[in-house]
Amino acid sequence: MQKQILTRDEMSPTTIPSVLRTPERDRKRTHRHAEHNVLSVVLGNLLIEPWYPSFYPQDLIGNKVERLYVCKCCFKYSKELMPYVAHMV
Amino acid sequence: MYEIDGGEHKLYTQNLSLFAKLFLDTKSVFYDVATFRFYVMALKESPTSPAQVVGFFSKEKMSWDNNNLACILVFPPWQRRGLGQILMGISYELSRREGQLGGPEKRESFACLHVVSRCY
Repeated sequence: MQKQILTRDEMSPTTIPSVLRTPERDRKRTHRHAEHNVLSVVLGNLLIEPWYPSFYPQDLIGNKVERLYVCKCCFKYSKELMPYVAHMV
Repeated sequence: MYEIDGGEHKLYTQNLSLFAKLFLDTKSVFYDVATFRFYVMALKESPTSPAQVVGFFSKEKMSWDNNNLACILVFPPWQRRGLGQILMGISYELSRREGQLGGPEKRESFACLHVVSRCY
């Protein structure tokens, strides 16, 4: 998936960005939080950058996962691509 | 809009809460969802496309602090379209019909405060 970084001025309802950066006002808050354990999340055909650390169970996703796949219908999650694709089918 | 009882659809609401935590700073309920009702907004981008959940808010079934709103979130790709104000309006209308006058839970997120201030 192509990553597209948009500024706040470029974002508009007609362009749905595939990756959204952490909002400027929240960046100062997030760096004080624990390190992100999910670096990006896939929802349907969108790749989204989380704003805060998640509470997904560590025994299922581990300490850190680069990409978490979440079903847009039932919100079931997987760190592996194949179970996610099988679920979507 | 769909109303989902956390006690009847535990797995769905738990997964929804976990996903929402990625974009909410002060959310604390992920697994104990039975005492909440979730009101989910589904959007159709075009008449032929299936509806997709783009945001939600949750309310306690029984609030001891007179809170009428627990969590409210529009997922980032669909923000800045006024959907948060719609969710807030529906939340307050539900509370009005239940005869409950209150406010959001304490420790609201920055985004929630922003939407609430615009509503009023």
